[in-house]
Amino acid sequence: MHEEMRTLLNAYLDGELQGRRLQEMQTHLATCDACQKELRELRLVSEQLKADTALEAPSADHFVSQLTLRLPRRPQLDRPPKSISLAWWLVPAGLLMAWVFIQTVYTLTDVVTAANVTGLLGNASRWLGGGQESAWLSAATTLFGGQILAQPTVSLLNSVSVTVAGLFNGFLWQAGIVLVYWIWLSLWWLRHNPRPGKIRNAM
Amino acid sequence: MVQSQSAGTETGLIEQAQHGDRNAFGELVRRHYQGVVLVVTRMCGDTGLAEDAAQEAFMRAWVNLPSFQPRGSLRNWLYRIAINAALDVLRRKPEETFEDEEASRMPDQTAGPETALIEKEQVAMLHQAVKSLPDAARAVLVLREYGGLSYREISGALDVPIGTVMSRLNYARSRLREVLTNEMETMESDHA
Repeated sequence: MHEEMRTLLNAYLDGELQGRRLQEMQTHLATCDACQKELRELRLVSEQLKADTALEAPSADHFVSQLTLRLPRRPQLDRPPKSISLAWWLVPAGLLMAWVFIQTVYTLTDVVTAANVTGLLGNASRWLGGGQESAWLSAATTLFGGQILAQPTVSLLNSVSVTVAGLFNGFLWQAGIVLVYWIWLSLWWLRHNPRPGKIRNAM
Repeated sequence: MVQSQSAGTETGLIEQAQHGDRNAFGELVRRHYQGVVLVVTRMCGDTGLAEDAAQEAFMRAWVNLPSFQPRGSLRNWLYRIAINAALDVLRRKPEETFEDEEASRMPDQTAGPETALIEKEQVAMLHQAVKSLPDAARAVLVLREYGGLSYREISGALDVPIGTVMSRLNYARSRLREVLTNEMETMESDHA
């Protein structure tokens, strides 16, 4: 019999097969005498092993009393100061608040800009100080004079530039926050999951 | 006495023991004693060595308990330590021959004397075969058969992939199956 089939039979015996693999195994077993025999023998081994679990060991109470006497002194658990423990919760909370703040600012900016462009704000938009200018348009205005602003293509390009710059800024902010959050999450995970010693001399 | 409203729960006991409460630790030991002793006994194949291994396992557990995360399974964590302790005890005493406790065990009196003797021989033979398995295969077999751990739990406890758990278990059971089959054939030919 193929080793892979033996391994699967063991998994079936231990109730470790699920879903499609379980159905396939049940279907196969219904027709394969060799696998049925193998399964019976594996089950017999398992039952024989489990048959004798009564051990001649000292009683638990006696063992515990002996053990307690031998337990070494252990330094008190090093608990981090409360301020440090608090910092572990403040960091994600602060990051979340920063993210919410930035999102709100960008959303409000978009709303106000859209309202301004569509003329909803009317004269009230004066306080905005006019439209935004991208860096290249400022340079072009200095070189060629204010009449360049009258060109519709230039005005459109300027709007696109400003929007792209805004999106890029927003992306950078959020990427930065996500990066810091991941670093924090990794540190938190490492701090809370110290691995006990590995099994040595594993095959 | 263990004093706390959470004294009865394992998580509560773990927290208290982590802060140095020996009584709480004693209660945890009582709860897991049977399982750990079974695991180390089958790893060592000898009750004397197993007792040493169990002592050592619980001592290590006491020392390392502050680093244990109560979200994990204490039983699996203890079994992992127990396997290591059993292997260390065996390594320290390689020259000693095992006095098989099965040999001194009284046969089942409810069965006929001959049947009881055969059963006893089979079990002793099987346990001898378990002892002869390589450490890694034996550890997987013991955690599965006596510890009752799932493949995933064994994988976590021994820090090996599930595929490795499956292949080691297959290897171990195949070896034991051969032993059992040979033994039964021998007995049949003896009685023929």
